[in-house]
Amino acid sequence: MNHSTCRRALVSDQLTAATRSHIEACPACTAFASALDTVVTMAPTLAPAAPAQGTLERVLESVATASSSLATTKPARRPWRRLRVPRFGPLAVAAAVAVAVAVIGGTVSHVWQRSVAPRESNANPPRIVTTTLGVAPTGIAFTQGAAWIYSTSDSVVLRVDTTTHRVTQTIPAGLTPTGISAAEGFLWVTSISDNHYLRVDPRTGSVAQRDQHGGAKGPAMVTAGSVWLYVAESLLRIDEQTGRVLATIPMPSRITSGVFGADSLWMGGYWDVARVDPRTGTVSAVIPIATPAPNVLGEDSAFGFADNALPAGAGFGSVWVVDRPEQTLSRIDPATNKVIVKIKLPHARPIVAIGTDAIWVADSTKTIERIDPVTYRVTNTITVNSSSDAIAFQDGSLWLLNTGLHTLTRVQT
Amino acid sequence: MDDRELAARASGGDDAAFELLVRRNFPALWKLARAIVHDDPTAEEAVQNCLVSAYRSLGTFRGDAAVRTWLLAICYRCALNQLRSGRRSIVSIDSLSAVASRHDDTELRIDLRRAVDALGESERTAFALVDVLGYSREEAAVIVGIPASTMRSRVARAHGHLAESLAGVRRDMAEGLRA
Repeated sequence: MNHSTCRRALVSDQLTAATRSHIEACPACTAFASALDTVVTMAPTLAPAAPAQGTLERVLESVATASSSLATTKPARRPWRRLRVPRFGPLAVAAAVAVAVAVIGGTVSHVWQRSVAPRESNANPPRIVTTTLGVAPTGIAFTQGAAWIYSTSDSVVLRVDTTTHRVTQTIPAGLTPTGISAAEGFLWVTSISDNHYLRVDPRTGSVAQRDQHGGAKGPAMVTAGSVWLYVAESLLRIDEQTGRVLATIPMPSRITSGVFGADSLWMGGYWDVARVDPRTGTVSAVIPIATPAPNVLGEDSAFGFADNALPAGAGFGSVWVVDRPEQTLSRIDPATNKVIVKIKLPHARPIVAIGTDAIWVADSTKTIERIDPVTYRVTNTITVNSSSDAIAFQDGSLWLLNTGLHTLTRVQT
Repeated sequence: MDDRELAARASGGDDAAFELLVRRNFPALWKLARAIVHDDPTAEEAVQNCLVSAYRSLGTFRGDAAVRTWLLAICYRCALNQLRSGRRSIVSIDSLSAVASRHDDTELRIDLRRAVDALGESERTAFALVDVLGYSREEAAVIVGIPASTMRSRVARAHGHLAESLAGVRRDMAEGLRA
């Protein structure tokens, strides 16, 4: 057997006994086989590095622009407005006006000045209203015409009229309320100490139901006919009418938070988010968010692990999860259960609200930033009077709670 | 919602579906383009052209292949066009040094990379698709638009040339050490 026959057999992976014995006897073919092995083994290490941050957004932007010109030649298709408008909406209008002004006025310099005009917050400052609550607010939920705020330390739920911004009602909420949510026409208030949850009728403020289901740590989630509470490493499914526990679903790790969105429950654990199908009550996916690290306080201690994977909500076809210590916001595609984008936030221990056209981020400073969900760029910065401990978006406004100052601040965006 | 459904919706004018389709497949498209062209800006341009082309021809997608394979096939052609057009973007020194430090190349890997660069276009593409990016020979054949048997022989030829090249480097090194 000659060298070339042997090597052809090697590269086409058709080794025979004769080829093998030739390789053993021939140093040149042994070297060739070894080199071939190296080639195949090392090939994956030549895989291209991931694109630099921002590449995808630039590509999307270019394709959106190109698609709009396609639309002019193909009237059946509409331009790719969704990508173009969120980023350029107000600025594009401003730029177009500026171009018109420049052309009419005969000077081009106006165009540039307008396009780099001060941010929206300075040009058109938002209306900011602050209400002193008299209690230390912890969390907030909304019904028609009202914001409902619970206080863990003061054990009450307050109703704030969203027109007058005044406290109109105070409801005792038992010991240590831990969460509030609004769904199915009721308010749902959980408590960790009293082992109960309350169903409050927002029209009358009366407590409509009270059941014993120990130690729920966060707001209840309510889907058709079922109330979902999380207790330690279990998710409880409760019949909304009877209050009976229908199922106890074990979670992959201790639950720290949960939201409902994209037809699923998204339960934040120490490092990951578990997706639960509310129809079947089963965990359909576990999505890693943060890198697990040893707990210096012992395996049973959740201290320091409570905010590595906090689902912030659903919006823009995705579910958004905050890792506060790592200052990241992960975007999960519900179709694939994969994190498709992880954004590094320039905020220390950020809190996030998902708006109708933007992501809003606050932290322990007095600024709130608007992040475009397409380009992931900060497009507006709003300064308020105090830092924020909780943030929510409702009716075109941001609602901020400051626990220490006992305030609710509304920012009309 | 799977890719096929997204493509159908995008074809009907649902631009959000197209955006999601792009986001989902971008990593694979990027890797393919970057494996074929020589620098990031050119790869970016190739992927961009691919997506514009895909957007334009959504209505003609028949669903014979997986959507990802269809996109990869378009991306392959766009990357090849970029390469053949010779419009090599300028890569800054900063980005070159970043690439070098990111890979932390061993000498062997550098030798292999040089050997890959020295391959002909068709063999380099075959090697990149199958060995570097991990597609099967059959998938790679669909992406490139050639029979599977041709892809198999291209991969084998690429392997042969690369192994010759690496064995030669090792031999030269050994002789150098002896001298």
